Amino acid sequence: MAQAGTVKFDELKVLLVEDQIEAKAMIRNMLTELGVNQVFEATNGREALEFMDSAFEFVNLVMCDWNMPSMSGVELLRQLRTVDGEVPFLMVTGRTDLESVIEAKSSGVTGYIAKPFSPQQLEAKLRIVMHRMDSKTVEAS
Amino acid sequence: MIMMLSKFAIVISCISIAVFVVVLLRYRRNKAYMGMLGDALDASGIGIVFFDEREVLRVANDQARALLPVLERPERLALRRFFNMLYDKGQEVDERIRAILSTMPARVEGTTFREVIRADNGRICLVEAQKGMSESTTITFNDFSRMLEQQSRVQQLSRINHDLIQAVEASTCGVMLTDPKTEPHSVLFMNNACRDFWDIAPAESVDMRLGEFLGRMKESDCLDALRYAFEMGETLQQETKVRKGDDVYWYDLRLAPVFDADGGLELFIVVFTDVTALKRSENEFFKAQKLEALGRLSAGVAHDFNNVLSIINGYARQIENSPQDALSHIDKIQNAARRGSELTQRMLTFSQHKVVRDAVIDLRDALEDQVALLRPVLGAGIDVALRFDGDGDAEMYAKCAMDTISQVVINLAINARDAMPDGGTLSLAVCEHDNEFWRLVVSDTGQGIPKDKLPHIFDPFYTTKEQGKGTGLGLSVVYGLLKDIGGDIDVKSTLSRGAEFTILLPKSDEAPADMLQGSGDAACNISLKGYTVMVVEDEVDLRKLMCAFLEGQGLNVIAAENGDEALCVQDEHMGDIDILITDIVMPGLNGIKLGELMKALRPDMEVIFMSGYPARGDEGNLDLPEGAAFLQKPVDMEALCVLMAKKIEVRKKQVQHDILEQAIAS
Repeated sequence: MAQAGTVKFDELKVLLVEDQIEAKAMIRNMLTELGVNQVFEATNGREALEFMDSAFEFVNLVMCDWNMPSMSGVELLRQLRTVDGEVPFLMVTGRTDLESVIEAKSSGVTGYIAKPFSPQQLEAKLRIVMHRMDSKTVEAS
Repeated sequence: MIMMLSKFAIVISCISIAVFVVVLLRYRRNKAYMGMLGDALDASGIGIVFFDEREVLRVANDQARALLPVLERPERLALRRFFNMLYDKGQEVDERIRAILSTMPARVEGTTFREVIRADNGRICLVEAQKGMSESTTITFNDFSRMLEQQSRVQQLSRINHDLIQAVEASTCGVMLTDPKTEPHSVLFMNNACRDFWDIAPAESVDMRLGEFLGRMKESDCLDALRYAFEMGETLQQETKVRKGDDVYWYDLRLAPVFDADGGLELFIVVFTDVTALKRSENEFFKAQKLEALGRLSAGVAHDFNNVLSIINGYARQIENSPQDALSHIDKIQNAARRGSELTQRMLTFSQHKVVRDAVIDLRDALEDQVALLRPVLGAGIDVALRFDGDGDAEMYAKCAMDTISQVVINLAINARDAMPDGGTLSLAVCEHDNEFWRLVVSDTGQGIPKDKLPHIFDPFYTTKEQGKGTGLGLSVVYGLLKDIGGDIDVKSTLSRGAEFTILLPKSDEAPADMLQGSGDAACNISLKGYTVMVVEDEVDLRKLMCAFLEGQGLNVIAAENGDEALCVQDEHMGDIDILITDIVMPGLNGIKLGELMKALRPDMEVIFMSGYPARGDEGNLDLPEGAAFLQKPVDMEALCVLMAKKIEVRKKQVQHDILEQAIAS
């Protein structure tokens, strides 16, 4: 159990699901600069589900784009929750309208971040998600 | 018969002409072949010599003749003799070079002779001979001189390179080279010191990406500037403060791009120098300065304080002698005690050294206060005159902390006092200098400063006083303080006619914070009602106290006990948050970082920092962002209200301004 306020980025293991190569590279760079060194990548929902099926213990955060061909981020989250109800899920989205925010929240994301975002915004959102994860663990224990 | 003969002759001659033509054609074709073959041999860059089956020299191309001029006279060279000569030339070649070249595989199978020779023109060649099917012998000369020269140059360079790397590795400066041409931008080289500075294991530094390295620097305050310089290919020189656990280090960082001949970015050189020790001694120096100034002030105050004590003591004795008069003496004792407590209060204000970055003072009030403090320090023999020139009612707001003006005036006044042992006048006059500055002229009627000493008087440790009367820090403190706030100071003096210090203080358009307060509570109630404020404080009692007070002021209050919780709470809060009030020193995410992250999420939010440490200077503290609002703990709730009202006022103006600009644009 991590103590409140001692968020450690180097312990974070992220699965990054994003179909656009440039966006993926950019997010990965930002994560690296924050000290997150364990980043796995998937380019679509199916790959992400396969990865989580076989290697879920290597991941403690999923960061996923909402808009992807064949399987949307929301659909991925829905399917992921049937096998892993716990793993925190940070939705990356270009939509900031209230309806989308409500849809994202009601679909069970742990947090969401609107594109384009700055490294500070990403750091803040990661801290929020990780803090929620810690609080849950505290409650559970 | 004759006819037959002549016919026969004609046939014969025709045949011979035909044969002649055919031979001629073949000869010309052969000659052309031979010519082409010769050109090809010359163009090969290899020396070639050809002996026929009778061991007679038939062909030697240009390269071969250049190497061995004896080939110009082929009649003297039988094959065996030629081999003997080559063997002799082989003996002249250095054993090491022979060893190198003889490891090369033979170019053609069936090589009958192999030798490394030094040719007559000094070139080193590998000579190989092959016997052909027709018992002829072809000898080839491969010139390896250039290769050998290059090899020795490479050896020399790699030696120099090796020595340089050793030198750089031994350096106490952190040195790093990065390659901007790679994708992603990667680290080429990093020395020991650099790895130590940033806690990087040797194995990690191999193939490290720049992004990863910058990730290691996240506790440093120069990251943005550095990232910008890398992106733009610019030079950078900056001092950076880095926290490692509980310790703070300072590095002097220099970044220089290296360009190739076409102006393309080739390399970055980054050098870190540890200047922590220097910084610490600088800090010690400032502390010494403060003590020194305090010491000078106390000397003046002690005299006055002793007076107070003797008054109290005197009346106490009188009461002892005649208790019946006690009542008439009591208010005199009380008066004296009040004077004493005022003195100690001022000493405390002086020594606290509160620096508030956006502090504003009203020069009229501030100088009147200072003059009141100066009178007892200067003694009875010295008159103090304070004059404000210009419009009598105009406001004189300056961007300067009370503490700064206090130190400036007291230091100058004490110098003036020492320059006027027989009494005189100390004048302070304030007027408008230009649109940007107020001018404060502090002059005395003392002995003046000798001309040759004028240029040095702002230097630290420079003193015109006799030993024991001053350490020469006072004016350098004044100079430093004024430079800090963007002001200036200059001095004029004529011997025995006194000295005149001219001080420039930056003007402020805003009124001092305490003037915004208006009529206390009422002002708070009106201006703050309905706004939302978030309080982040790890001390539970203080947090509760602040929340209760702010709620009492009609504010909506959200609270969190640490940085990460604050981020979560704001994420759940769908409405606006107008002001964040955060403690600076908290476990986990500190207040400064929290402010930065919150600003990234809510750019319109205002931030007020509070801390038990002074706002800057101390190494235990984190640097506040430029222009940050800061409250010293213990928190004065009134001051907090004023500061919030001010922040909201500024924002309202900004919003109005934006609306106006939009209106003009559309």
